[in-house]
Amino acid sequence: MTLPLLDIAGLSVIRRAGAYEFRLEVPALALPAGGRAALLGKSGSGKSTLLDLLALALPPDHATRFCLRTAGEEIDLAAAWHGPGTVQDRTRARHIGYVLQTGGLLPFLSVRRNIALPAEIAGRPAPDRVEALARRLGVDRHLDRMPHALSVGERQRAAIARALVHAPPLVLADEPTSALDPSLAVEVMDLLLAETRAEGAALIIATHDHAAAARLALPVVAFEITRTEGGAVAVARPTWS
Amino acid sequence: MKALLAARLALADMRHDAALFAGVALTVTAVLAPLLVLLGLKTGVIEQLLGGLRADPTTREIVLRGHLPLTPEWFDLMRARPDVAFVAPRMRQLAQPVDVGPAADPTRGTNADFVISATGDPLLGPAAAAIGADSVAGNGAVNVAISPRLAQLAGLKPGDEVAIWALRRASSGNQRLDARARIAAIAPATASQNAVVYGPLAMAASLEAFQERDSATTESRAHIFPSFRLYARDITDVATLEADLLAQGMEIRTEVGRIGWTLSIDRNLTALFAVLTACAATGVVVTLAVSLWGNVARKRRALSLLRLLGLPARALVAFPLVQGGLIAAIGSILGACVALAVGDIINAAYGTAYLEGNALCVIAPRHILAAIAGSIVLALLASLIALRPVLRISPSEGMREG
Repeated sequence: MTLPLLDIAGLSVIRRAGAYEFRLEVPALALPAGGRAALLGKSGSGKSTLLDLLALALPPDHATRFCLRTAGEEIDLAAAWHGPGTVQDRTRARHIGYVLQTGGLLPFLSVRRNIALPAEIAGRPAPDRVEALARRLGVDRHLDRMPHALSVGERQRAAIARALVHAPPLVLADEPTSALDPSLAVEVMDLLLAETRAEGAALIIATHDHAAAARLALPVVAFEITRTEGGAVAVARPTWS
Repeated sequence: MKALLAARLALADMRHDAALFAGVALTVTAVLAPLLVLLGLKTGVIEQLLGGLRADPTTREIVLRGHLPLTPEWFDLMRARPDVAFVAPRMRQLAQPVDVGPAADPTRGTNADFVISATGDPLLGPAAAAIGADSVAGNGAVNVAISPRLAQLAGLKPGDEVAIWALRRASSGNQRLDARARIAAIAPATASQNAVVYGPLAMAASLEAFQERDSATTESRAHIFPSFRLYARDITDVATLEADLLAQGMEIRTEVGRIGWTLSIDRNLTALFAVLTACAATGVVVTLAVSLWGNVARKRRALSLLRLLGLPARALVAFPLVQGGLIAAIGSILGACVALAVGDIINAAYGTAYLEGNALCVIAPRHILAAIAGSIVLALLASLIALRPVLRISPSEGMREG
C-alpha cells in the first residue's frame, strides 16, 4: 500500500481571542494522492483553522506527524515551522493550489496573468497550459480582461484554473461556492471536482453545505465541538475510517 | 528571480492604479519644478556677478600705495605662492617714460609708459605669451606688446620692428639709449587706455639704469624695486593676500570689499536655498511615505494572496521600493522638464533686458541629475516606512475576505 499524500497525526493548535481559548485537535487524518475530502462544519467549528494549517498559513502547536508526500519527496511540515519559512513558501508555491471564497484573483492582473501566476512563482511558466485550462473552464475569451470585468461565476472558474496551472498534488478550496447563486454553485462545484480529478490532484473543500457534500458523495471530515470553561475544543475526525 | 517577478507585479499594480500614482508623482513634480527654477535663478545671478568679477583681472589686482624697497627675493617668494597668479616689479612708483619709433627711422618717437610684463600676465592674457623672447628675426630684437592706443598713435602693427629709447640730460645735451624690439602682439583694450609698452624686466632695467646713471645709487638700484604689479590667482584669494601684505606693513588697495559682497550674496542665497531644499525634501518624504504606506495598507489582501501563492515576504518589499522609486523618477523627470521650460520662458522674457543677453535662469545638467537622484533616494527612504507592514503580511489573511 502506498503512503498517503497528506499524513497527519496528533496535531493540535490553540487560538486565543482575549480570555477565549479555542483548541483544535486532529488525532489522525490521511488523504491519498488524488483523494478528496470535505471539511464540513458551521462557522466557528474549526474548519477554517484546519484549512489555515493545511495552507501552511498557521503553525501547529503540536504535531506527532504532519507531512506531505509528493514526487518521491516527503516534506515535514511540522519541522518546517522551526525554519525561516522558505519551506512553507516553496511548498505553497509548488505543491498546493488555492480556490478562495470569492476567487481571490489579483485585481491588477489580467485573467491570463492571474492564472499564470502560480506557475511563475513556482518558476515553471506554462503559457500553453494557461490557455488549455482557460478553455476547459470556459473563460478563454476573458483571458485578456481584468477580473472586475468578469461575473462572479467566471471569476470562480478562473480561480479554479489558477489553482491547477502549476499541477499541484493538493488543492485547497475555502467555501468556493458560497458567494454564488445555487445553480451556479452546483456548476462551479462540479467543475472543481471534474478538473481536479482530471489533473489527478487531491482536493480538500471547507464548506458548511451538507447538501452539496452529500450530493457529490464527498468523504467528510466532521468537527465535534465541546464547550469548556472559557473556550471550546474541536476535534476533527474523518468519517470514512 | 522572485524579486523580479514581484517588481513586475508592483508595476502591474501601478498601471492598474495609474491615476492615483500619477497624482503622487505630480506632487513630486510640483515640489521639484519651482525648486529647480529657483536654483537656476540663483546660479544665473551668481554666475553673472562672479563671472563679471572674474572676467576683469583688475578685480584680482593688489595695488601698492606709496613705495618700498622690494628685493628680487621678495618677488621670488610672492611668485612661489599658490594664491598669486602673477607678480612683476615696477621700476618707478609712477610711470617709466620712454619713446617708441620705427626701427628704420628712430628719430620721430611717440611718448609711452614702459610697464614690465611677462608670460602669464592676466592684464594682457594671450598677448603676454611672447613678451621677452628673442624675436624670430634673430637680430637681437626682443618681443614686446603695445597698447592699442600706442599702436594707433605710432601707426604700429604686430610684426613691426621698433626702437625703444630713453633720454637723459647731460652737460653736452640730451643723450639717448636705444633698445631693439619687435611688436609681438597688441594688448587688449581693457589693459590700458594710454600709450603703453609691455616689455621684459631686463629691457626696463637697462633703460632705467641709463636714465639714472648720475644718481648715487646706480649699483644697488638695479636690484631694488619700489613697487609691484600683483594679481591673485582667484577672486577668493584676494582677502588672504591682502591680509598677508598688510601684515608686512604695506599700504595696499584691493577690490576685496566688492568681492566679499558678491561672495556673501552667494553664501546667503546658498543657505536660503539649502533651507528651502530641506523643507521640500521633508515634504516629499512625508507625502511619499504616507502614500506608499497607504497603498500597502489598501493592497493588504492582494499582497497576502501573493504570500499564499508562495511569494516570499521579502519579495513583497518590491512593492513599496519599486513603486516609490518609479514615482520619484517620473515625478522628478517631469519636474525637470517643467523647470527647463519655465527657465527658457524667463530667459526669453528678462534675460536680454537685464543681462546683456546672458541667461538669467541657468539650470545646470548636474543640478537636474542631482534633483532626480535625490528624489529617488528620498523615495526609497520613504518606502522604508512600508517595509515593516509588508514583511508582516501573513498568507492566512489572503484566505479570507476583508
